Amino acid sequence: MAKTIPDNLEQELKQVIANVIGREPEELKPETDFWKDLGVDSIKAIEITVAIERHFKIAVRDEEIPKITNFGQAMKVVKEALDKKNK
Amino acid sequence: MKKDEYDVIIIGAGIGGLVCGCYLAKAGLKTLIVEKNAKPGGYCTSFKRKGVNFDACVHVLSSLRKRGRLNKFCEELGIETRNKFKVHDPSDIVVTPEFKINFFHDLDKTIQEFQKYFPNQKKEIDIFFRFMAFSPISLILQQRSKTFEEMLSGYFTDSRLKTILSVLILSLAGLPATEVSAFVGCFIYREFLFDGGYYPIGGIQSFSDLLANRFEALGGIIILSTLVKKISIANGKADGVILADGKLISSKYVVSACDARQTFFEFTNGEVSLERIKNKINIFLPSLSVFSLYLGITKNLNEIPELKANVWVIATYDIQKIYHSLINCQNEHFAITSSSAKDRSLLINDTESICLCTNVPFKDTSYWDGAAKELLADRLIRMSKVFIPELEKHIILKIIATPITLYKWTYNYRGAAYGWASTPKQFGDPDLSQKTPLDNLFLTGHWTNQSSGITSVANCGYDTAILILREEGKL
Repeated sequence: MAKTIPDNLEQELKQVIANVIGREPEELKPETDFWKDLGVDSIKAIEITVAIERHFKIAVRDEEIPKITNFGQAMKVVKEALDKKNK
Repeated sequence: MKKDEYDVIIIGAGIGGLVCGCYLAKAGLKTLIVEKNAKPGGYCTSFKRKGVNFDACVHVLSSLRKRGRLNKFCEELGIETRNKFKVHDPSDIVVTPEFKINFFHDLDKTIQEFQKYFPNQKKEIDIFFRFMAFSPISLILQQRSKTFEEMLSGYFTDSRLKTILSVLILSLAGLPATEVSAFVGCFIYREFLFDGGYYPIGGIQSFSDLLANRFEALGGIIILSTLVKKISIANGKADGVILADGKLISSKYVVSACDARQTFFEFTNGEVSLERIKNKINIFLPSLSVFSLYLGITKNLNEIPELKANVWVIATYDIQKIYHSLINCQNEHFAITSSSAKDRSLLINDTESICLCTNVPFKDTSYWDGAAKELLADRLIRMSKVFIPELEKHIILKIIATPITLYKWTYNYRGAAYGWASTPKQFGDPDLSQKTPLDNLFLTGHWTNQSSGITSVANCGYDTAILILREEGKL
């Protein structure tokens, strides 16, 4: 059976998002607001979503995109999608 | 170690390249823009024939209201916009087989216009327009997977109304509403149609010149009429450009603000780290091109004050017919714009300047060299008579630009007027992000994963500058 959550999920996700927004992974603290603190706009929000979907081979529902406002939320959305995928 | 001649070299002086250059120069980076044409602006340019001014592809600007995105960039860059624009209201007029509908700066008035002609959809019109104008980004983001047509169908049942709203998107995104991303459609309505009508005094070139002059005032350097042949790469990093005459100019960063095929198949050909992008580009679809007929006419346009606005003519309500007809270049939709009506200082020797333009596929040189060019020109003149009576009798100057002309002017793939097609699948694709897998090579403009149009490419230019400034530790 496929493994539900990769061991290094947090690091991988940080790297994926950091690549899209041109930041260092260390800058992505759980509570750091993507929009207010990291200058993410609506287009980058879509780009982050697509990058996450491709990397983890998951589908993020459109209603979930606005929820991805910080790294903690991004982790939550990815974990849920991975769980759903492996059910 | 040899010092770089520049911090950043930008290839292409379109609006994306110019805005990017201005932000970099403002932050103190030594920045060079290399442009193949003899003047800056890319598609945002004007030309003169027999003294008459014609705006080539961009005919009006938008998003210059107090809190508009383009206005924000001008303010931040210290570009004075006061007394630089004629502001026309209504900004856009749609001419259908039955009536004319105005887009006003006052959204309530625009809503009332649509409600007047479509009383059966009164409530939906109010909800739709307010959603497009004011909804929080979070709600617009939820439209990511939808096409504009799918979104429209969620609101409206009247097919005539849907056709009108769709043709505006076709004209402004270069893609049928059945293919264009709903997210992009929302921004076109919000940024362009609800805040349009800004015409730079002296012609559209004046805006590009304003940016180019500001770039130079901030310490930037522009070299015009100079073709880039290659991007120099050493130790896995972009480190300058090689010009057509073989001269190498070194830099720490390179920004390509030109056609994506040029960037990846010519300038950086053979670079292994970019193979993935090249594969992507091979399957990516470009937007449609544009056919433009520029006319010098003797009819006094004071008689047709509506031409201060962009006029969008729709000859049929059958949207499928509109899509099929454009494939065969027998278009059922087109736009009429006039630079001399928008700015009376451009009226030269009593000759008015108008442009009739419409979306077309690229086809090829032999197609446009044949009868097709004149046939489409005649068709547009004939159809314009609903708006300009006896137009053909007043023509004293006629110039045609086909997709081949657009290609030759910009080297944009297949003469695409709006870069990549903004479909839900292509828009936002991380593979065409501004930061490329090759270190120190960045992209900007409408051949990235962002949207097209002047405001969007300006936004993209700003974004690319921010990425570089962050790498430089300047933010």
